[in-house]
Amino acid sequence: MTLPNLPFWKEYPTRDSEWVRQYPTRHHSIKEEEVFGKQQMGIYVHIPFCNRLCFSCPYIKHQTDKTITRRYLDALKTEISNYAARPYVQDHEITLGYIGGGTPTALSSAELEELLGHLHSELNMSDDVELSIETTPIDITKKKAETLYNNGVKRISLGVQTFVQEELESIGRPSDPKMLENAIKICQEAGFTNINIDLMHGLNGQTMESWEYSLDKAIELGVTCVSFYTYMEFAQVSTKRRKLPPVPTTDVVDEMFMFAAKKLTENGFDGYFGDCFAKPGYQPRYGERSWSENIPIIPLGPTATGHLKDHWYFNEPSINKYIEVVNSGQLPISMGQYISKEEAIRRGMILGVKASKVDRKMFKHLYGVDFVEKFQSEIQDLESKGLVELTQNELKVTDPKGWYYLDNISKTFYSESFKRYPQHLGSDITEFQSSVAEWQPIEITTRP
Amino acid sequence: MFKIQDRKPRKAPFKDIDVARAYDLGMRKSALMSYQKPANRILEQAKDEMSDIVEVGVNTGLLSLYIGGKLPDTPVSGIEENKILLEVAEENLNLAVWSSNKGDIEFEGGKFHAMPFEDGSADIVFSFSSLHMWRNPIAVLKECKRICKHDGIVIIEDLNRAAEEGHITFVLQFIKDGGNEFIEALGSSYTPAESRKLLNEAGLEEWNVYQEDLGLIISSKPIDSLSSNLYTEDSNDN
Repeated sequence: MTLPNLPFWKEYPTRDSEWVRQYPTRHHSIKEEEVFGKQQMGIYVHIPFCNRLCFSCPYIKHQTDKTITRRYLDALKTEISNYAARPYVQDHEITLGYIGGGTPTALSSAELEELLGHLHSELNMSDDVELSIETTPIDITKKKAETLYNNGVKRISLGVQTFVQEELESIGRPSDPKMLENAIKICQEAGFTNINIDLMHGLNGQTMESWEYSLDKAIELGVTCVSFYTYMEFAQVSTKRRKLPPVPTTDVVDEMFMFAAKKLTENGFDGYFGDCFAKPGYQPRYGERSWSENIPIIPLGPTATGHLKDHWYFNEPSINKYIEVVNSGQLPISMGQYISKEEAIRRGMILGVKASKVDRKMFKHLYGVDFVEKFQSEIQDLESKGLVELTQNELKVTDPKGWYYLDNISKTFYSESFKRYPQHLGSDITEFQSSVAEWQPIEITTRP
Repeated sequence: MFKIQDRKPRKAPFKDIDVARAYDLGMRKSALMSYQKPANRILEQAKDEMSDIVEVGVNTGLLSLYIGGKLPDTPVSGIEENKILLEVAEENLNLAVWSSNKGDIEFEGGKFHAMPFEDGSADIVFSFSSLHMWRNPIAVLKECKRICKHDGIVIIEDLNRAAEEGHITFVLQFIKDGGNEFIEALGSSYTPAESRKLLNEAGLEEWNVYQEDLGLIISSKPIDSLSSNLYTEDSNDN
């Protein structure tokens, strides 16, 4: 084939006389906002306190205690200010956030107002920032719900677990289903239009009928999101609890998942994250967008996980050490991992599929590769198992089979270096490791 | 990744009774689930009219107490070299009596390489999380064989130093405060290849070595439920 003879392009041995000084060469109309516009950023705030410690919860939390909550809140505000002072953070706009725990509403209304006020005053919060918060039917009050709503929290998530009295008793929760309904009403009356409830399947004595009852109740109460979790039965040390009816078999628990997925989709909910369902337009941005669009997340509070500047990391888990480090002017970063370009691409797939679909164009824009070409064999394998569907524009997790196996799908894209390692649970295990250096991929990066 | 490439024998793991009590308390709080599999493996070997079950290295007595409670008609005899651990085990046995444990359980101090039991007197000889502390493992393995009945079984379980790093990470994150204790025990434990070598040196070539999760299981007879986990010379030690 003969190449056209372009006036500015000469093939060796003819000397090219165009003096190269820019790249890339194709260009188009570009505006100031594109060059100097603020990129999106998210926040995760961890409140590690609970007014009541549930024996079925594996997460790190502390009994609410006024002497420590005050010290903690001051440290948390210091950490927020420390991040806010960094130019990198100032170049971004906070568009999404999640306040989890623990139980964030273990804090008083005044403390919640103080925290939210500090977030808004210190960080570049966008006008339409979507802040979500976790609470429980026991901890939420009219005053707290109004405080949250009036301070920019637009989505609230209640750990209901079940509407069945005997099942509430079996997990050591106050067993008045009416109180649960009342808690949802409190949130609705405070102004919340986006309300999530968590439900558990696999509880002691739970049947398909009682599971259906809880799902029906959730639908009837008009919540916009339902997330369900499999109950993990830890070894029971209480002799009373050891006498509880058995948990359903794995087969029944699986069936409960499929049943819930079908029932909720029939009632106008769309699936996301595998076991979360939302009415159209109510799917939370946190997670979905931060994963699909690779939005950096600032982690705030002990054990909080974040993703900034080519690293994912989590904060010091010990609350006292966290306070000490923050008060010394440092960020309380404990453990994490540098994300090389190759791993960033994989991470885009690993977390992207968790949001149920990966957009081909967006992925190419973010990572510069076509995932269909790069992960051809993985995608073919997943397709053959009926777990994903590939179209011209996107890779979509199948409904409901793919939702059920969502984490298996996600782990398909792990690299060999990180295969068969667990998700972090918030413990600092640095002292037991021989060397962090061996974990650093050898890659020359230029620093501006 | 972890500082356990080379085996480091433990030096007197419990310097005083308070440390041992704290360790025991941690185990009582968190180990009920991880004890289920080893306990069930022992219980699966139970037969009618057994004369004795022996635990070599009772630690703080938890597993013997559990087995004894499940098999109230069979005497369970536990032996421990470490005086501090033995004292905590006795405290736990005392509490078991208070809570009406129906077992027939006794703990005593003694040397593992010269146990105070007759030849062929035990139907089941078991050990859990103790092998890594044996000063003369070859002699103790031979001793386990001596006291076990011909139709009995020896089951020795301990940590596996060659366990997957991911699994070690997972456990370290869960046990939180017991990290130092766990990693020290793991660092002084044997790999399957090292265990095989110990058995061969003890003249116990016919005994089996299995790997399961974080654990290493040595048995004098095949254990069907572990057949797919059998370690052979061709297996990888990671």
